[in-house]
Order: sequence, then structure tokens, then C-alpha cells
Amino acid sequence: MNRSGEIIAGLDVGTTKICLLVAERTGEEDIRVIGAAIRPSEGLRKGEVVNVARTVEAIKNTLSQVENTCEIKLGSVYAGVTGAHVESYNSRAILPISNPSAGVSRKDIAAAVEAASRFSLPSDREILHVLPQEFAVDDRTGIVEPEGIKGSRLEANVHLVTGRTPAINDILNCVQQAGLDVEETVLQQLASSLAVMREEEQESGAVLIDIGGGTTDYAFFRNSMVRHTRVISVGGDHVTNDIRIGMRVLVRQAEELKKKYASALAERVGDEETLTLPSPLVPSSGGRSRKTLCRIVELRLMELFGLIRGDLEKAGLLQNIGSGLVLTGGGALLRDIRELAERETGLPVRIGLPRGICGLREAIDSPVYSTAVGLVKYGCKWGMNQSTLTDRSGGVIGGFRRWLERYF
Amino acid sequence: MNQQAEAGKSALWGVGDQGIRVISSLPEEVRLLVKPAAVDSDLQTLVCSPTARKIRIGPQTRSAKEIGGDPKKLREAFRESEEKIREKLSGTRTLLIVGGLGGGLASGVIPDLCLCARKMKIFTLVFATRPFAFEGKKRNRIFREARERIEESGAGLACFSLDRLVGKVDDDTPHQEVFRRCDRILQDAVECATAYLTAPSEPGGNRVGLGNIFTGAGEAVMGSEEASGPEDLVKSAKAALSSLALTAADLARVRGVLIQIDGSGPLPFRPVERSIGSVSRLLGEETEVLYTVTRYRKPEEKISFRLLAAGVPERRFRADGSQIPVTMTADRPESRQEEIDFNKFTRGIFADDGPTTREGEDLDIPTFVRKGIELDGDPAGGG
Repeated sequence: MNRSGEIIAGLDVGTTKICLLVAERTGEEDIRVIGAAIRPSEGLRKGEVVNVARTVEAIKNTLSQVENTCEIKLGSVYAGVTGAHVESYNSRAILPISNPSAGVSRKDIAAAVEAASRFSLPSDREILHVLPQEFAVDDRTGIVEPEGIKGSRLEANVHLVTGRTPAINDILNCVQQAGLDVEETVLQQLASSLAVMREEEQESGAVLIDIGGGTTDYAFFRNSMVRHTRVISVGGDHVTNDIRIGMRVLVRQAEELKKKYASALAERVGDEETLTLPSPLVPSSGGRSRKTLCRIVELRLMELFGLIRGDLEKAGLLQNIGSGLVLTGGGALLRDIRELAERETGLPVRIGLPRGICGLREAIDSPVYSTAVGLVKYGCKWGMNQSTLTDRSGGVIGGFRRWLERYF
Repeated sequence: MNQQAEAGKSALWGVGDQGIRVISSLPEEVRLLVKPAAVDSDLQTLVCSPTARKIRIGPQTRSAKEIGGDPKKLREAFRESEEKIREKLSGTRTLLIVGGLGGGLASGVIPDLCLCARKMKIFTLVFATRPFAFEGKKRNRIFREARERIEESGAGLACFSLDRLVGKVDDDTPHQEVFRRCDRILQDAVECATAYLTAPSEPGGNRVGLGNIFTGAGEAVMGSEEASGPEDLVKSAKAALSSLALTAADLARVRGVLIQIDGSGPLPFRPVERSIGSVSRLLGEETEVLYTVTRYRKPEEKISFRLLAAGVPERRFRADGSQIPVTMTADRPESRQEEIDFNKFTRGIFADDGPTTREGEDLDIPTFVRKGIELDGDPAGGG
């Protein structure tokens, strides 16, 4: 099939599923999804590759499904990265302004950001993203666009996202072994934010929480900038595991119970509601209470939101959340999770669905696709030619490029 | 003080047949760190020993076989040689003694040797095996008497009960193989302690720490596993811990553990932290954890994770062996009956993963289990 527009693909290599989305860009804002596939993932644990062969196989299967559907041959993708190895830091640098009488130049800004990103890292870590936050010129702080402001010294504050090189290499190797080049690696919650968050939310202060199978990734935005990112190695798999142990069932049965019957609010389930469980361990386990199931889930999620809230509070960000929380990822599909998140954090919460993209709407109208949609949008908005982005520093370049585009 | 200097003041004496076998089979890297010496009354045994340093006890007596099992004669033999032993111990700061307290020469000599060393203010640690229950009441009585005397001398004692091996022995396991495993336990224990005491980062090792966990500690157990790389260290740590076959209650009461991670090159911090953490989180609040990371292995060899737990609650075994529990060994054969893996029970699908720790809690364990919340009338723990 002939395609007139540019083809861009986003690959979300998750702990429980591999999701591949292919879109065609025919105009500046016209992004149309032409293919989507989702397949189970078995080679990852907590966001990190533990079995290369299985991961490669799952990516190949997903790729094959999409290519057959779209009748195209994919060469490269934008890939999401997550895992406990991801760590973020805020860094800053102060440099003298080259020509004080003329004010801050673009060159000064670039030099200050670059200096702030020269963060001393262990040899096995690398920078994934450099995300400029705000600037200060002499004593004037909170400046978003410092160009032309007169003063003697410029301070740049940046948010650095780093990852463990071997873990990132594992993902890249798996994708490459499956026959695809990686255009750029993007932190998953940043990708998801592009798919589901509104500009006014990012402006007034909001937290994007992407609850995946192996990890929960979140990012705090304010003044349209990323202020804080974290990955917690607790996700939907932990809920499943808790159910497996608490209800004495197999993993696949626990997964089924979670999807069919679980609610994040046990109080909404009647005491009389029972579940018939074909348990291999306890012959008489039929008739267990659904409330018990929901209590197991509720306890896990209460803890998860408590951890997020505690982290935001510790970072001094809680009072800066003007809009609230946006939940996305497969975990956001859990019944009553929005209400539970509101109760546990005291903040307004909404479920974030992919937006700003058309075509195959029915296929991608789910928070499960948020990261993949975000990766496609990232590629459409900031992607470059494949030949310039195949090197490993693509993420850093991407971070810089995004920022540079804003200022130049 | 550097490692070589410290090593020069550490001595390892193998007493009796088993002790000599153990020191003879130590790797060269470990032998260089201590001064191994073979101690026996039997001239032929000493002549056959490949160890360079040999100390003959009681030259007036003809053979250990003639005096073995008779504590009185053994003590007389020791007194005959005490002056020579003092000379040999001169300048020594740390003395490690290894042998089997099964009624032979070591049972009589080691307690006196400890007393002698302690009088010379030498830090002394004994690694010994306790005879099998089936070997009779007399041997076990001699063992108990020897243990009491060693403890009275103030020396540290890591005593490994051979009966813990029986549950891991198949019907067709050769007799010699079982005793080879006994030797291997002592060898692992000696290597572990030697590495700790001579670690270059800690000149002289923390003798106080070692003394705390071994003095009057009673029974000890040893587990050892290999990892193909740093990424497998957590798995091997868990396997080593599992091989101890201790219950959760036993683990909580262990006085101390000594861990040695031995590779061929520098190891990253994270796997070391995670592997030791996977052990320490199951231990009691008062349990002392000592560890050392060494590089004695050859590049082609795997990384070794050794775990010595001291002050383990003692188990009693019948002579007929009818209720001997499944226990540990350094390289254990397949169990005939599966053990319930505490990790699998509480961590489920994450049993083989490193823990996700936050504020001291392993988040892989279900929330309701960690918080002790009852579900539907069941006690916390669900299944």
C-alpha cells in the first residue's frame, strides 16, 4: 500500500505487554494511526529485560502483526524506557553572561544548560534526558525565557533523567535483534504525558502517573516543564501477586480475578458477593468473598499512592499541584481506582486517555496505549531523520533538541 | 597494616586427620594468607601431608591411633609438646584451628591448644565437626566435653553438626562422599573466616565482631553457592540461605552471619548490596552481619557466595536417624522431598527477583502480609 506521509512508530516494551503503534503524519498536526498491535510480554520483570530471547520473540510477533495489517515494512521505532534503574536529579549551573550590556544570549543559555547537565555519574549510568526547568539572572529567579534579560550571571536549572546503561542496552539490543532500529529512547512517563495531558494541566501543576505491569512511573509538571520524575518498581504485577497469594489461586487466575471482579474500593462491594475460584491448592476455596479480593487490591493501591504522595511531599511539590493527578497505563483501568487515588492523595484525579491522534480510534482508546501514542507524538513533533538519530546519545540530543526548539 | 603483614600473623592449624585434609585442600590464594600447619601425633600422617609446616604432638607416643578416644592420654601427649607449640605460636595474633571433634586426636588436643593460645592472648577460632549420632554415645559425650572445654577457654567455636547432612544424603550416596562433604563444609568455613580476618580494607579483620558471633554460640551452619555473574548474586545468596534449611524462627534467632563473596575481579556495589540484603532482611534485629568481598577466584571460575551462620538453635537427632530433618551441605544433592520456600510463599512471582525495598520493607511481599492484616478471617499470609 502506498503511503504519502511520514511513517512513525512507537514501541512500548512493557513488563506485561508489548505495544506497537504505527502512525502516518500527513500534515503538521495530522497524525493518523494506521496500525496497532499488543502482545503479551514475558521477558521483562519490573521494567527490565530478564530474558532476551522471549523479549525478542514478543517484539517480533508484535511487529509481524502490525506489518501484516498495515502492509508496510517498519525500519525504526521510538522506544520507551522505564525500570528501577531510572533515576532523576535536579542540577544547576551558574555562568557569567558573555556580554552583560546586551543581555542573555542564546549562546549563554546553551552554555549554562550544558554546564548544568555535566553531572558526575557512575560509569554504568548514562543521561537519558536533559530537561531545562527555569533560569535566574542575578537575583531574578523563575525566568522561563531569559533571552535578552540584562545581568551579569545566568543560572540554569535542569532536570536530568539517567538510566543504567546495561539495562538500556538490553532494551535496545532486543529491539535491534527483532529487526528494528531505535530512533530514540524516551522515558515512559514523559511519552505518556504527551499522549494524555492537557497544556493547562502541565502549566498549572499536575502529576502524570502511569501504572504499568512492572512499574509505576510518574512525572510532575509545572509551568509546562518537567520538575520531578520517579519510577517505583511496583505495578499491576504486584496487585496480581497479592491476589494470587491472598486468594490462593494461580497467577493467570489472579490476573483474571483482577480484571473481572476487582475494585480499588472494597467498601463498594457487598459482603454477600462471592466468587467461585477453581483453586488448585485449596479444594474448598469456592465461595471466597469478593470483598476480600477488593481489600487485597485496595491495600496495595493505598500503599502505592501513599508512596507517591510521600515522595511528592518530601520533594516539596504537593502544594504546587494545581490541577491534580492524571492516571494512565493499564493500571488505570482498574475499577474505582480514580476514587481511591482521590481519597488517598486528597487531590483531584482523572483517567488519562490518549488524545490528539486520529485513526483506529476504537483500537487505541485506552490508557494501555498511552505510552505508545506518546512515543509516536514525540517522534512526530521532535523526531529527526533516522540517519541522525541512531546513536546512543539520541535521548540526550532529544532532550536538548526539545529545549533548543523552544528557545531558537 | 596491609594484607600480607596481617597474613603473616595469622595461623591455621589443621588438627587430626580431618583437620589436615581440610587445610591441604585449601586453594593456594587462601594458604598464602595464613600459615597452615598440620598437627598430629602420627608421624606417617604428617609425612603424607602436603602442608609444609608440620607439628608432631607427643613424640614419645607412637601413634594417634593408640591414644585416640582417650582424653587423658591425649592431654598427656599435648603437655609433652606444649613448649614446642608455644614456640610455634609466638608472634601469632590470630589462630584458626580446624578439626573433627569425633573422639580422636582433635577432641583431646584442640581444647588444650585453645587454652594455650588464649594464655598467649591469641585470638582463637575453632572450626569443628560434631560426630554423627549413629556413631555412638561415647563419641558424642567426648564431643560435648571437648566443646565445653573450648568454650571455657574463651575461644570462638563454629561447630557443624554432621547429622544435618543426613537428610541430604541419597540411599546410594557413597560413604566417602558424605565425609568429603563434611570436609567441604569446614573448608568453606575456614575460607570465609580467613577472608574476613585478612581483608585488606579492614586490617586484621574485626576480631571483636567475629568473637561476638562465635564465642559460646553453639551450633553453626554453612551454605555455599556459585553465581555465573554479578546479576546472579541475589539468586545464589538465596540458594545459599535456603541450603541452610533453617526455619524463619531459627533465622531470626541466629547470633551472627559471616558472608564471603569471592570473585575474580571487582564486583559492582549494587549486586553485592542486594545479595547481602536478601539475607539480612530475614535475620533478627540482634543478628550481626559481617561480610567481605574478595578476589581470590580465577577468571574462569564462577563467583562464590558463602554464608556461615553461627549461634543457630541446636537440633537434636536420634541415633536411629528416624526424625533427622532435611539439612544443609555445601554442594547438596537433589532433595527427595521439596522444602517450602519461605520466599516463594511470601514473594510469589517475585521470589527470584531482587527485593523492591522502601524504608526497610520489601514491597514485593503482599501489602496485607507485611501489615499483618487478616483477610476474610484468615491470618495474614493468606495461603
